Amino acid sequence: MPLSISSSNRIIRTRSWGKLWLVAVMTAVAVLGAWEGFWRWNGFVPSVEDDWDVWAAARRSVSRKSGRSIVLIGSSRIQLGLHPDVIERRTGIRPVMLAIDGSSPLPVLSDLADDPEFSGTVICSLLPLWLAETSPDTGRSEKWIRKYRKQVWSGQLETRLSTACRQMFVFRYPGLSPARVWSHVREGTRPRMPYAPMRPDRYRPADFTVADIQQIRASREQREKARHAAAEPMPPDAFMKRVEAIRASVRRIRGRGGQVVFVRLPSTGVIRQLEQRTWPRHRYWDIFANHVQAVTVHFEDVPALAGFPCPDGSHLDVRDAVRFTDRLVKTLIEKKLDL
Amino acid sequence: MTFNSLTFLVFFSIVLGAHHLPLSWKARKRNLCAASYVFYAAWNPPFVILLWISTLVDWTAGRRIAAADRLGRKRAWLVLSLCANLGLLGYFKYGGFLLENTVELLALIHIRFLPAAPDIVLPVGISFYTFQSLSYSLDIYRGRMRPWDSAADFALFVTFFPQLVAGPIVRAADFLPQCREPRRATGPQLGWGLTLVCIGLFEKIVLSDAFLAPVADRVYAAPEALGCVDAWIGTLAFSGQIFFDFAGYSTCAIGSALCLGFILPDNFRSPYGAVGFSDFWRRWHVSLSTWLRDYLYISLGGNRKGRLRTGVNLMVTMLLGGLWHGASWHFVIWGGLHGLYLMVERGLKNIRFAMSVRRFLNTAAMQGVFSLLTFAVVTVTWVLFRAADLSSAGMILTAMTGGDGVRLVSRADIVGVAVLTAGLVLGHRAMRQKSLNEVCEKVAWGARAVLLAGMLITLALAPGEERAFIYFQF
Repeated sequence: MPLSISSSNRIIRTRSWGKLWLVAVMTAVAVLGAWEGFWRWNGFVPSVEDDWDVWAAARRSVSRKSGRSIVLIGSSRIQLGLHPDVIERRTGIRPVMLAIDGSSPLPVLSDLADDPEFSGTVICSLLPLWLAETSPDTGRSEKWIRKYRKQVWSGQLETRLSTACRQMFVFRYPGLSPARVWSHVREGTRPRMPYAPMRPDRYRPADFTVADIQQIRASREQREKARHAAAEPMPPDAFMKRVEAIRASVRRIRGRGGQVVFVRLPSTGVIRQLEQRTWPRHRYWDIFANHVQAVTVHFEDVPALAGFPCPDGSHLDVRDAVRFTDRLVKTLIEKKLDL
Repeated sequence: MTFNSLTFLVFFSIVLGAHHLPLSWKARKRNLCAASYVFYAAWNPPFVILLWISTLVDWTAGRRIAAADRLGRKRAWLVLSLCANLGLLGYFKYGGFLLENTVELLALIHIRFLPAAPDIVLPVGISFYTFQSLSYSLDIYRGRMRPWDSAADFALFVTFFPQLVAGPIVRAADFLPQCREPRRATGPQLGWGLTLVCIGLFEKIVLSDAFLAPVADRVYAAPEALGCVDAWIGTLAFSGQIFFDFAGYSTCAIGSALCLGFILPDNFRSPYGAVGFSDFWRRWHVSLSTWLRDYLYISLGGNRKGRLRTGVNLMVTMLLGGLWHGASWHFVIWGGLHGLYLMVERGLKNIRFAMSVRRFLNTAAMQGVFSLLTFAVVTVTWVLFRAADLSSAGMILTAMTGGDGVRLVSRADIVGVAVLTAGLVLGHRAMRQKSLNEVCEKVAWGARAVLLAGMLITLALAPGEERAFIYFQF
């Protein structure tokens, strides 16, 4: 194709491109600055969005760490419930949060067991659901592990850059995109800061005082009731197979000098009742604890850990998370864990 | 590393900075070549080897074809180039498709053949750079150009990062002469180049990804339960999405090349303002359609061998053009339908109408009607392009004729897609004979600055969902 028809390349005549870009950039900066200031003034703070690439960056840091390291795995309960700052203050080690919301941690445990470079401590939050449901949801965990293994250098760099941007600017929060703000305007509502925004270290401090707690609790209970109604009791031999698989992962990690601890974090109210009814402790957790050959901590067994309220039935508020984490670390040290 | 990533922003800033260092032209060309390999390695580093193979084969074939004293030798080297480039394309892009169809064919004659899954990863942009590299050997074989004297320049031609993975497909005769003289963007070139990048990103991130893609995705994810309005809105949304996505990429490519002082050909010229299908293909993905015209259609005989043969040639070209887009039968059928439209249009053009009828058909109103008709048919044909498979395409097309299903798109979506589509079609109609820069020139300086600021603001505020460019899969 002759270049003579490359019309896009014919330079348009203008007074000064430099001035034009300067005016445009300054206008954009001024508008974005005002937009940013408006939302900050309304109580918003920068938040990182949880996705596989942010998880992959955290996972990669685990393999790079030599010597002592602490990894937190589980689902949202540990992501909101164990405060990394408290663990660091108590142990001198900054823990890495590898919890995946809504998905079983067992694939992550297996991935860490298969990683020859990992020889640290795993604190695994195990809900009755992950332990005893016939087909627990492992999709997200498996997908994130698969994507993490395939991620190339440019993807890693992109994650760093986009996370840095999100840490800096409130307006990068997806809930404040023009489309979302417009839909709020149409519905006559206001965007709200998420009650559990994610920090760059993937910890999510939950402040239930700013949330519509009735609505959150009601929707969670409805969801859990449906899930429990559909749950099938796990046959004993299948359960023992799962326990054996977990024990094999524990053995591999311990073989390299690492250690694994399984923690049952608190739940309250309807959620607690449902868990007890569908997956009774004596039938699953107690058998698991006897067979797994690792340290296990059930919140009901330790008076210091019992009695924490979960405003939505399943998660701790950040203020309680601080106290709970402190007491849990003390308990683990008392159980002779090398932290 | 896509144009709509922060990594590219960093990468391009470094490349642009290095290109403006006081280095020799040779050194700066080498920098660009190395940067292009880094750009490609961002997807899958081992696949850089494929670029080297394509470069080495066509560089050697070009020289040997020119030096050969006998036609047989020339042909042998050309065949080597064809086999190497199309072989790479065939293995990586069509290997799985061929195997799948072979299994089904054998099953028809009751032979059970169960091969292992091929598990072939498609190297990004392979359809683009193999065609680009191949055109060099073909041009030398046809005596249209002499072999280039610098291997480094040729390597830069094959790998030049702005257009490496999704075009425009550049011809050697257009690009290589630009390597002769030192090139560095002038102030206005840099200003306009950056503006083009900004416009391209706006088309991709805001119009395609944020506005249209979610609607199209929602509709095409549930083809079995669609109502008529939803099917139409989803298809119109895809029609706009694919244009803004691909034209956005091409605009970014042209703009970033211009920032480096290089000129790339246009790839889109207001295609939804086309009157008829031959006009559409002169405006849509121009660098591919001219490639297919020059190296396939004309090689088959073009329109020089009678009406029937012209029709066959058109159909073969469009079927292969469809297959180029993807290893699937629905792409082939999509190409075949466009071939059919071109044949019908050709037949209609051969009818000798009375002068008064011709004058009526050429009135602005009738041209507008034909333009809308062309857009409507092109849009309906996109269904085959977008649907996951043939049965989904069938369901969506049926829904478009009056389906009564669950409502998937909101009233706001309907209004948004309708307004954007109308703006797109009317804009293209108005810009039929104009280029983007001619339109920009007519906009006052202050308004231009405000528009640019508006695009920068929306780009900064757009949600960061990363969607790959549609044409990357080809």
